[in-house]
Amino acid sequence: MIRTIANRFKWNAARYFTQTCSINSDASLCQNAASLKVDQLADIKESELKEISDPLKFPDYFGVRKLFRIKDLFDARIHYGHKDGTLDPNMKPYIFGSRLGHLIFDLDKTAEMLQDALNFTAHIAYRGGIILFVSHCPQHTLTVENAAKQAGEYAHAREWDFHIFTNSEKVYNGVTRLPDLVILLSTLNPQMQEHTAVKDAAKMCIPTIGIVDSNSNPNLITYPIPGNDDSPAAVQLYCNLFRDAILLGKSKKPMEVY
Amino acid sequence: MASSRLERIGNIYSRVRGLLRSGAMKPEDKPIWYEVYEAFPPKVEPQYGRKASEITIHPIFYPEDIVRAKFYERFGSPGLISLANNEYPTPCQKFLDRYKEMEKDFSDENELFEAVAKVMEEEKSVPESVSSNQPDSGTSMASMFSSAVSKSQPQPKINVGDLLTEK
Repeated sequence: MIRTIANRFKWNAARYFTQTCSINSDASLCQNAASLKVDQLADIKESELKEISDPLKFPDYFGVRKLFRIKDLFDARIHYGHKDGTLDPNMKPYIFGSRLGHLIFDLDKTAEMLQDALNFTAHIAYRGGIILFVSHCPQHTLTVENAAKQAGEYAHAREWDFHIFTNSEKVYNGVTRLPDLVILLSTLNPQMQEHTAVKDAAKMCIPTIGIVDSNSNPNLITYPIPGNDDSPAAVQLYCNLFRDAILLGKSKKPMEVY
Repeated sequence: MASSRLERIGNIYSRVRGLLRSGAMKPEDKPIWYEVYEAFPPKVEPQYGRKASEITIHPIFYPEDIVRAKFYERFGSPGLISLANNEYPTPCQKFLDRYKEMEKDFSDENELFEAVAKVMEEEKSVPESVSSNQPDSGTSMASMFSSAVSKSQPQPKINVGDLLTEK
């Protein structure tokens, strides 16, 4: 029994080692893998093999760092914030400066936080989590819903019913499974107030990833991404990046062991 | 299964960790994101009441801005500039490039500016000086109106009586 499972893992392990060792800098693990011959992998116990190929041990298992460059963020106009007067004090650390009253985001910080968020997304998708794209800006409804469709996940880009998360069993008339991750393409609703999903997800212990503009409050969001949430080009870029991260996570799902 | 809906206390990780430790949440009910969060925690811990830091936002200015200001005062703006199109440099950009080239020949800023302006005007790379054309320079409504009136073509006089008798 162990031998057949090990044979299956032999093929998987070889694939993992060639794919992952070229991306990450975890040198010690790569060395161990390189020193093993393929026939020896069959003798390794199943549990040890799982530990070597655990995605959580690698800093960038899915290669989300390769999905974008800072120039892509610049071209999509992600560095444009609103004006000085509408600045939320909690966003000050992420602002590069003010150009004649217009706030400019520090794209180095944005890029780092975007990488963290994409990595988290990929891991959740890898573990079979339900991901919900949320946005209330009517201009971007189609973009967000299309991205969710292409990723094979869910979107809520319409008016938010207050009880969707907190009283879901009443609203949907039955036991509901809430999403395991909520991606907010804009943390404000059309009335310029904080979107209800931010607070509700925090209440229901659901991690959130959110694009926070200079007039939004990032405190309740688990993985905030400071950046422009109003330009269609920016929203299109975010949707593409999250969709690609989800598909990367799903593509590396381990084969079912029968 | 127990849960904690207190979003203003701690963050989701600290609350779920508390539930697991106390035994209110069984280990098999552990959420999917828990281990991922432990492996890759966010750089800044989410916290509802975190006080905003006392950072001053600095204005962004470049050394070339002084030249740009002088340029726009002298020559005015072409009106419409496409920010998305990077192919063709704007008149101001061309002026700045020439300014940089000629910088080493001059020590005084004003002299250098006049020299560059002269060169560019000869090459017709910049629009005509706003100040040299009209007697009353500036972008006030009155001056713009008077310049528009002087530039406009005389309208052909229409005799309504002639139009009606043509039938």
